[in-house]
Amino acid sequence: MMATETREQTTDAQAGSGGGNEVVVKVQGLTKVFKDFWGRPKAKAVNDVSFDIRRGEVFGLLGPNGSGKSTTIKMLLGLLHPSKGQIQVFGRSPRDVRTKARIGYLPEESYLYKYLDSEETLDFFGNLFAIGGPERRKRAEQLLDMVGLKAVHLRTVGEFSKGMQRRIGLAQALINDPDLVILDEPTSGMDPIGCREMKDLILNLAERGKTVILSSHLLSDVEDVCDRAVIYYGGQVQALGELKDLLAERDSVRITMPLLPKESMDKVLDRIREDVAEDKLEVENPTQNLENYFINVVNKARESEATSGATSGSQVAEFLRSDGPVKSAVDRRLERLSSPVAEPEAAPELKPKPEAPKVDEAKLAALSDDQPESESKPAEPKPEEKKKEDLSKANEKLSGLLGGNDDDSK
Amino acid sequence: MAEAKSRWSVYEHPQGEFRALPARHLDAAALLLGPIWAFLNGLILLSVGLLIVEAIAAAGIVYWSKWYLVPILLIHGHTGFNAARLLGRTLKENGWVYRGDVDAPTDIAAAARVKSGELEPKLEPLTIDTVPGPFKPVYAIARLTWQAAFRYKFFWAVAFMLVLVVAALPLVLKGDGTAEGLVSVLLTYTLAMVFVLLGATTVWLACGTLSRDVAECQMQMVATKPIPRWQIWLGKWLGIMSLNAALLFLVGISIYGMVYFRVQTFESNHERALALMPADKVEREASLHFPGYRMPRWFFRPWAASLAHGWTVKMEKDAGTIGGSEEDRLQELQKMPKPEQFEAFKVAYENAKSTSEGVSAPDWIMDELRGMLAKFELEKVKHRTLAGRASVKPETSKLEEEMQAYAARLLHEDVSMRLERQFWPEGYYNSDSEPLKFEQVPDFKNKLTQNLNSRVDLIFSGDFQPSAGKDDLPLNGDEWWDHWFSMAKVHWEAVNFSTENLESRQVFFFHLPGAHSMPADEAITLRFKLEGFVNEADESLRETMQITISDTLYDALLIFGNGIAGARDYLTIRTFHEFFVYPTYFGIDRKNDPDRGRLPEELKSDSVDERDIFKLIIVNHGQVVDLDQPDKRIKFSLSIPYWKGQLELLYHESSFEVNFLRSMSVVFCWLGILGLMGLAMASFMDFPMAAFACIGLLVISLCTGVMEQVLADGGLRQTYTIGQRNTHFLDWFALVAFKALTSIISPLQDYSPITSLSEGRSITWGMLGRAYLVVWGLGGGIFAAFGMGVFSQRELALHGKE
Repeated sequence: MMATETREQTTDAQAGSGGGNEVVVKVQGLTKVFKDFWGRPKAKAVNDVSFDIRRGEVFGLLGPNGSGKSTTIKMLLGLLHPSKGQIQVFGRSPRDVRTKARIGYLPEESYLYKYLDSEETLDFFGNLFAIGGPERRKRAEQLLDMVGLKAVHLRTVGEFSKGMQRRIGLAQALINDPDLVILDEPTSGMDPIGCREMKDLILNLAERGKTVILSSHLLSDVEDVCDRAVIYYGGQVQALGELKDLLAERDSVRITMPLLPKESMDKVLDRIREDVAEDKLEVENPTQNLENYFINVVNKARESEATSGATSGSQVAEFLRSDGPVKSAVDRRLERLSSPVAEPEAAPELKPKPEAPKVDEAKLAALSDDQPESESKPAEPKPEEKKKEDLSKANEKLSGLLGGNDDDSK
Repeated sequence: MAEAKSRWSVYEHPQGEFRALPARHLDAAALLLGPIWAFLNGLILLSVGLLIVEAIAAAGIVYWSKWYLVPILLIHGHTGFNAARLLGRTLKENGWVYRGDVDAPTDIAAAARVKSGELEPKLEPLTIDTVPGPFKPVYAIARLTWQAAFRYKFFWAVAFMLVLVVAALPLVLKGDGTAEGLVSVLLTYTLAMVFVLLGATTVWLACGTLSRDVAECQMQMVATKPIPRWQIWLGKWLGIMSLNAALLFLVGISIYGMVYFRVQTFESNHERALALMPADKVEREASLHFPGYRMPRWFFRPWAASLAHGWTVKMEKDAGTIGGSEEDRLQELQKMPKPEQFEAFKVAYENAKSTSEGVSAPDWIMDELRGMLAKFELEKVKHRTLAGRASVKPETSKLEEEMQAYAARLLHEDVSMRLERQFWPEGYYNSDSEPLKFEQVPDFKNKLTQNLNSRVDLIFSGDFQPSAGKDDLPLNGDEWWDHWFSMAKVHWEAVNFSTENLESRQVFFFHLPGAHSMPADEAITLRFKLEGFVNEADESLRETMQITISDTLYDALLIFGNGIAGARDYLTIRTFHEFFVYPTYFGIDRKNDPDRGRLPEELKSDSVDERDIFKLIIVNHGQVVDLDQPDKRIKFSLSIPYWKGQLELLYHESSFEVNFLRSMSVVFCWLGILGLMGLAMASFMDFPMAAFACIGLLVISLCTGVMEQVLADGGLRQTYTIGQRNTHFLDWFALVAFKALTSIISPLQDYSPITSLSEGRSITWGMLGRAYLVVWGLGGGIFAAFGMGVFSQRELALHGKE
C-alpha cells in the first residue's frame, strides 16, 4: 500500500487544504475542573482559555509547572474532557478518529511500550494509522535513520536512555506525516545535538505547512522556533501573541558588525554618546552560542569514536522533507532579532579563529587567568597554547557528557 | 542476453561489510527441510528447537495419531514463509543494518554493487500485507499482547506450567483400576486443571493488560491514534484469546497424546496382570463365578459372543457331548437367543471345569478368557470414553398428561382423607365413585384455597380446633396440587418388587431414527441411575434419604426389545450403570406386542418406524442379602430418576478427536467470557481493584444455587408465624437482584465440557453453537457492551504518571 492510501490521508483532506490563515485548532472558553470521587471540585486546572492556532504556525505553550499547559494539550488530544468550553481541531472534535489521523503527539515522558524495540514500536504505531506494510517499513527505516537510532533498532525501548526514548517518541509522532504535531517538552532529556535537530525538524515541518504546538519550560527552545505563544499562569492565559511582538524592545537597538579599528570605534561611540547617556550604552563582543560550540565538538569527536547510544540523526526523513531550503532554528532566531551573528553551519574548528574573539569577557575569565583589556579595546586573540589547554578541558567535559549518555543507556 | 535477476535484501555491517539475502515470500528449502535449513544457515537454536518439536510430533504420528502431522506441517510452513525474516532478524541481532532491497543476479553481485554505490537499495521491502487496512489497528493491539507475553517470558512460563499439569502429573494418576476409569480421571483432572490455570491467567492478563496500560500512560499514546476506543478494547481481548488459543492448542495436543499413551500403557500392564492372574480371579473378572446362568456383560459384545461360541463347541467336543458337526453346532448356537447361548457356554464351561484335573477350567480356556477380558476392557474405553456419544431419552411430553390425571386422583384422595369434611370443596364430593379429573383441578384448587383460608381464619378466631394430625395442611390449593403432581412423578419412577418378568417398569425409546440400519456391532450404551424408592415429593429430601438406604446389591433384570436379550445382574443403588445394547435389540412388533395396550400413544401409529423403537423392561427382584444365598431376597422398591433424565441411550455420534476438539472449544468459550469480564472491570478500575472485582463476580456466580433456593423459597427468611412466612423489606431487593443474577448466570453454567468429555458424551455442534451464543452472546455481550462503553468515555490522562 502506498502512502497515498493511508488512513490519515484518505480521510478528509479538504479540512487541511486551506491557506495559511486556516484555523487548525480553535479553543473557546476552555475550562477544566478536576473533581474528586464524589464529584466535588478539586482543582481548576484551566480557566476560560481561548485561542486559535493557524495552519503552518509553530505555537508555543509556556507557563510554570501546574499552570495548565499539559491539561490543555490532553484536552486537545481528547484524553481529558473539558468541563466547559469548546475545542475544535481541524473543525471537528478532538476525539473524532478523523481528527486523530492527522495528529502526531509526543508526550512529555516516554509512554512507549518498554518491551518493544524501536522498529516494533514504529511498526505498532504505523499499524494504528493503518499504514500499509511496505510503506510502514519504509517510513520506519527513514525515521529511525532520522532520529539516529538505526544502529540500536533491536534494543528494546526499556533499555534506552531518556534521550533515546525521546527520539523514538518523536519518530512515532511523525510516522503518519501529521498535519498537526503536538510536542510536550520535546527537548527534555535530549543532548544539545538532539535539541538542535528537534528544533530544525520543527521548522522543517512548519515550512511544509504543518502546524506545531510546542509546550516547553525551555524558553530558548520556544524563542528559537515559535511564531506565536501563549503564556499560562494559574490555568489562565496571561499573554498571547506573536513572539516578535511579545519580545520586541522598541526603545533599544543592537548593531553587529566586523571589528573596527580602535580609532573608528571611538569615533562611532563618541557620536553615539552625544545622544545616549553613558549608562544606557553597552558595547560587547558577540559570543558564539554554546549550543553551536557543543555541536561542533561532538561532530569532530564522532569522526573517530563509536557510540552504543543514539547517533546524530541524519537528514529529515524523505517523506517529511520540504521541497525548499529550511531555515535553521538559529537563523529564525537571528531573523527575529534582526541582528546577524556568526554563521552556525560553518565548519567548526577546535582552535579559535584568530580574527574574531567570539567569547565575552565573563566566559573568557572562566577559561583564562588573564584579565580582559579595557572595555574600549577590541578583544585580542588569546595565546595559542592557553587556548588549546582550555579547550581540552572543555572537550573532556563534553566527552564526559557523551560518555554519560552511553552509561545512561543501560 | 539480459542476465536473470533475483531480489535481494542487502544488509550492512557497521564495519563496512555488505551481505545480501534472498528476498522471497516463500523459501522452498526452508519449507521442505526446516531444521536442516536452519542449521545450514547458522540458526542453531531454531534448528534444535524445530528438531525437538518434530521428533515429538513424529513419535506422536507413529504411536498415537496421524493428527500429529499438523504441528509438523505448521512448523515447516512457518519456516518456509518466514525464512527471509528469520535470517534478517538474526543478522540484525548481530549488528547488521538493513539497507534495502535490490535486484541482482547473485547475492555477491547485489552486495558488491550496493557497496560500490552502483546500486541504490530501494527502500521498498518485500512485505506481505496480510492484514487488510481497516483491521490493522485492532491487529496491532492484539499482537501487542503476544509481544508482551513473549518478551516477559509469560507465554513460556504458562505453557511450561500447563504442560507440567497435563503431561507430568497425570503420570502418577492411577484411576479405579480400569482403563475407562483411568481415562475418565485423566480427562477430568487435566481439563479441570487447565481450565483453572488458564482461567486465572486470562483474568489476570485481562485485568492487567488494560489497567496497566492506563496506569502507565501507554494508553494515552494509543488513544491519540485513529483507533476508536472500542477497537482498542476488542484488540486487547483478541490478543488474550489468541494467546489462549495457542496455549489450548499446546495443551490439547499434550492431553490427547497423554490419553492414548496411558491407554496403551494400561493395555500392556493389564495384559501382564491378567497373565499372572490366578484362574479363580479370571473367572471372577469374567463374572462366571455366579451360580446359574446370569449373563455377564462381556457376552453382549457380538465379537465376544462369537468367541464364546467357538469355546463352547471346543469344550463340547472335548467333553464328547457334541451331537453333529462342529459347524452345525456353531450355527445352532448363533441362532439361539442370547441367554440360551450363554447357558450353553456356561454348561460346557462347568463341564470342562469338573472334568479337568485342577479346580478351574482347562488352561486354554483361561488364556482365551484373559485375552477376551483385555480386549473387552479396551473396547469399553473405546466405546464409552474415547468417543462422542449422543444421548436419547424416553419421551416425557405425553407422559405429562398421564401424570396430571394420576395426580388429580391422588389430590382428591388426600384432600378427602386429611381435610375436615366441612371444608371439602363444594361439588366434588357428591359422588365418591367419581374421581377428580384434571380438567376440574383449577376449579378444585380455587375452592380448596378459599376453604383453607376460611379454616385458618376460624382457627385464628378460636372458633375451630383442628383435629389431631390435621394441623400441617398445605397453605393453599396450588401447593397441595404441586405436591401431588410431584408425587405422581415419583410414583412413576418406582420399580416395584416383582418376581415375574415383564411385570415391572417398561420404557420406550424411539428418538434414534435409523437405529435398525446401524452396523450390528455398533455398541449403544444403556445408562441409568438406580436409586432406592423414597415416597417423598421433595427432591432434596429424597436424595438425603438415599444415604440411609442400605447400599447392598439389588437383583435386577433388564430385558431389551422383544425379549431377545436380557441382562440379570446385581446392581448397587446411588450409582450409574451402563449396558451395551446393539441395533439388533431394537424393534418391536407393534401389532403383536404383548404390551400393546401399554404402548405410548405416539407409538401406536405408524409415524415411528417400529424397527427403531427400543423397549426396555426393568424387573426388580429385590434386595440380595447374601450372594451365597441368592434366593433369599427382601422386597424393596427401586427407582430410576426418569424425570431428571438419568435413563438414556448413548450412541456413537462423533469420534473422540472431534468431541475433544469441541470440548476444548467450549473451554475456549469460557475463557472468552473470563477475558471479557477482566477487561470490563479493568475498563474503569486499577489492576488490584479489577482483579478483586473479578474474583467477587466469580464467587457470586458460584452461589447461584443459594440464590435459586431463595427465589424458590420466596424470601431470605426461613421463619414462619402460624403457617405464614415471615418477610422483611430486604426480601424484595434480594428477590429482584437474585432473579436478575440467576437469569444471567444460570444459563451460562449449563455448558460444562469437562463432565461430558470424561463421560464420553458428545458435545454436538449445536450445543457448541448454543454455548457460544449464550456464553459469549449473553454474558460476554453484557461485559463487552459495558466495558467498551465505560472505556470509551473514560478520561485517560487522570492516572499514573500524571
